[in-house]
Amino acid sequence: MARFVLRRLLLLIPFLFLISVVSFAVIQLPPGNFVDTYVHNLELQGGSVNAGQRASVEAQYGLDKPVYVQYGLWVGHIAHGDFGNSFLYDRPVVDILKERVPRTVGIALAAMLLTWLIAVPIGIYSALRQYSIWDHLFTFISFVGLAVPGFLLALVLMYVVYEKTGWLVTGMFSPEYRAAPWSVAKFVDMMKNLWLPLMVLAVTSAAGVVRVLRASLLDEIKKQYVTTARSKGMPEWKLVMRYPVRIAINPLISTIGWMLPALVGGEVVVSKVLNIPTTGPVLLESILSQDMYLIGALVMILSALTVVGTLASDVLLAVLDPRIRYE
Amino acid sequence: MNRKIRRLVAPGVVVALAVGFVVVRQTTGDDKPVEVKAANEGPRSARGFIEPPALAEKVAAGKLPPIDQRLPEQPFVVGPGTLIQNEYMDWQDGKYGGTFKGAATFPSGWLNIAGGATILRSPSQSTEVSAPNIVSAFSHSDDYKTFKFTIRKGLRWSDGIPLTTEDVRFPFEDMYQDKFVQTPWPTELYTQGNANLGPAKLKIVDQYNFELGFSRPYGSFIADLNSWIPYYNDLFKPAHYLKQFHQKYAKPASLAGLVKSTRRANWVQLLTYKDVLHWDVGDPRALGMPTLNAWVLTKSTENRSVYDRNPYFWHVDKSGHQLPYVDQVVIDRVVDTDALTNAVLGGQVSVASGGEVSLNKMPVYKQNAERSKFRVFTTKSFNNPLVVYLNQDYQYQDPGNTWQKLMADPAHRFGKAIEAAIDPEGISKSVYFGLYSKPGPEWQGHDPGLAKQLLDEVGMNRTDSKGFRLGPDGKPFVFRLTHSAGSPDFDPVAELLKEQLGQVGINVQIERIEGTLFDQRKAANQIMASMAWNDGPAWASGMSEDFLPASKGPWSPATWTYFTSNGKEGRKPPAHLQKFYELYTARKAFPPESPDGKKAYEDLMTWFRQNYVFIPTAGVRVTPNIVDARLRNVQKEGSPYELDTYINAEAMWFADE
Repeated sequence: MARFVLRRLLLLIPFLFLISVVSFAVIQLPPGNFVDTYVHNLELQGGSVNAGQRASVEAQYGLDKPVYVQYGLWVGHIAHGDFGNSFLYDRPVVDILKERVPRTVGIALAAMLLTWLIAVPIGIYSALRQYSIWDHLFTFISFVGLAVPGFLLALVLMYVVYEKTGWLVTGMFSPEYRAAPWSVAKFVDMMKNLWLPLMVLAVTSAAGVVRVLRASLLDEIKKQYVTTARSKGMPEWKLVMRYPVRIAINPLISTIGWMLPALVGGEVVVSKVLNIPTTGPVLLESILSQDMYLIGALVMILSALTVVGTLASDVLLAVLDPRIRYE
Repeated sequence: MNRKIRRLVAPGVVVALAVGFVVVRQTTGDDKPVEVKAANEGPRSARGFIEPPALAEKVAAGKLPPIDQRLPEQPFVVGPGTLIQNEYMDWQDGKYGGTFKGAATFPSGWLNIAGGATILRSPSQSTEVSAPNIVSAFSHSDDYKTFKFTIRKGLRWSDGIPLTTEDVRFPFEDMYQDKFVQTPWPTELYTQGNANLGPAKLKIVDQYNFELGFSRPYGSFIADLNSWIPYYNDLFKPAHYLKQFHQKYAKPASLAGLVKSTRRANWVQLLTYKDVLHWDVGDPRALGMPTLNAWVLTKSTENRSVYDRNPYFWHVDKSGHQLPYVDQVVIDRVVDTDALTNAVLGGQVSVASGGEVSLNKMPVYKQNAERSKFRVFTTKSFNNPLVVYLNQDYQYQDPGNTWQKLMADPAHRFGKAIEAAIDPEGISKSVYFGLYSKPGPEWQGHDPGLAKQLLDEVGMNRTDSKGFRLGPDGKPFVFRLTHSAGSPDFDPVAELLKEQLGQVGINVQIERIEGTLFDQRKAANQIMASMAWNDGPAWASGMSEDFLPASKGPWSPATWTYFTSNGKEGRKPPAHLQKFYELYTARKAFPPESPDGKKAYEDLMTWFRQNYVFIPTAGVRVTPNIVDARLRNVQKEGSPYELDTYINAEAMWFADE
């Protein structure tokens, strides 16, 4: 097992190198560079830039050099753990990630936990009481949940809450707490603002989980070992929880691989609608404004996490399901 | 498909606007600020000033000199009509305190925090009064070639260091003309704004007096000295601060350390990085840079910028307050304009205007005004409504093609036809609650019959099977109208233009692209016709010049390249465009609001109207402004400019309520 993990980790190195080349190439694909964005914003605000000033800004950002030189500089710095400076935010990329990633992971983990808390019991209940009135109801709701996009739900909820209570969710914290140090009051304020995005994220993803769990559990329950165990007089509740549910949960475990980058990448659309400063909106914004070091770092990290996450879910599956072997 | 959408869009817009119209109409009720007498706040200093309570503690602790020592010998006195003309604002001396809350989508935050620290000062967006502001005396030679300045004695940077001519010498000698640094000259410091005529020559007389000389008459420089666009930082830079980043003055070891800790490649990049212009005043790199502004950046994190009052700000009111009245400005970052609108609706923003608001959201602003305690009123704007630009240079390398033939027509019948086909009142009614009306009587106006006749005359009298006119060469003709994503009104106006021009038989193809891509197409001369807004209302005062051929929308980018490169590149202007450059250059000689300047401007505008390089789609822009209900010294309803540039932010104050 250790060898298996080690080999997979070593493979990560050439893979990341490939990702760096591809992501840098992709960043260069659209015409222009960050200076275009800078000049455009300046002009929108009423300023103007002459040819000399433009060249000076390009030199300032190192964009006057050939692409391969820019790539060399970038990779050289990354090797030293330095992801460069974000043009847009005028601060080191590492600092931006330090601020946003914990927040993003926290929200995503909480949302995931909530998703499973909602979805797993419902999935199990639906499968065990197939075609009961509750099963039909949950099935109906989860189909609706699958069909309604998260941002729409966010918008509708935001509107309803504002209309009914006058409370407008405009970010993770209310303005008076944004600069305040952590305290009980600040935490309460955060929960007041955060329950809505968490619910939106949980409800929309719970729908899918319910469907998957119900289907795989239904497959399992019909198997002979269940009938055997039941005929030997094993209590129904203990039986279901100990065997079929453990197997039915495998599809969820295998998705952890994609969940890891999603945890860090953040939910772009919902975050945008609810003005939550996660990494999602930053990624979008950096791409739109061609803030190349920031995009580069995010793409690299997300790719690496995908690879690591896939490895983690492989290992977890092997641990939980004795039928799965390495090699 | 397109047609179907259009049919759906039009009635939808009409219904929405009808509702909005009613709401807007109700807003025109008078919201006159209540008369509040400024309370007598604290004891007066020997010179008669009142120490701001926010600074009292620091002064008492000896960390800050008392107010008498912080203010110049003769501070700039702000009163009725100084910052905004009397007819547009009822001035009241205010009281200290409060926080401006703001929201911004871009990291540098509230750009126009800068506001009033210009070299000369005229109310609002005018340039005529030219009262000495940073300087205490200003004069010019009769031929507008030499300008003399005396710096206000005792005026200090925000760190307490006095402003002297060293702060003028430093940018000129150690930045613009330094062989290593080579900071590019700002356009305004070139004679007549033209790089080919060479930059200003600086003569330092003594610690407070200096002169600028130009090779040709450059009266319009006076407008630049009044303007928040070039601002003070082309001419004055905090030398004592920037010297630590300059090889000539800094110790090599400490300079190397600073280069490393700021992650710059070399000291030139470090100096450029630390010389923050007012556009980027909210960037983290501006922390620590002394300014002459009313507020100084004291905190800049990823999601919030905080500006505190400049203890050395050199404006006072007549009752002895040091401006600004408001102690602090806090800008929270939002992810996009919708989040910004939410912040406004939730009452989390003290002032919102310009690009932060839009007329089509008027109904929701009104709905929430009472609950969130803000006030909404409309003003005219710094910007024109959308304008259609016809690029005279599109495919100019091939003079025989259809577009070039249409543009070269001495009678400009194609442009005239476009103008006659556009129905500005229709656009105003459909998109702008009817508030924009139609362009002035100097334009011929909506006349589809005339449009058809003119198009017939230029040879576009045959049609294809769909009823669209063929080009004079008998081939299909497509009028490609390019625009960037812009504000919410771009799409409906583009659709209406397509419909209106379609009615006289012009096949319009709308092309909507990203803003930066638009700029690149513009630079590459790949745009046939475009739609954009510009700063028209601010042209007359010389504040803005975005009528230029390659500005907001390109109407002759190749001849502009020819002009700026002194004939080395681009297209030699054909006769009718050459006339524009003559008029433009002639105007530069005079202050824009002098009698000569006004005449030169009139000539220029006449040329524009006769040559149809751009065509208005509606009359005068009307725009919403949102302010905290307690805020005083705010422009009145119907003022000529919105609060967007916050030219008088320093004078706003919060009344108790």
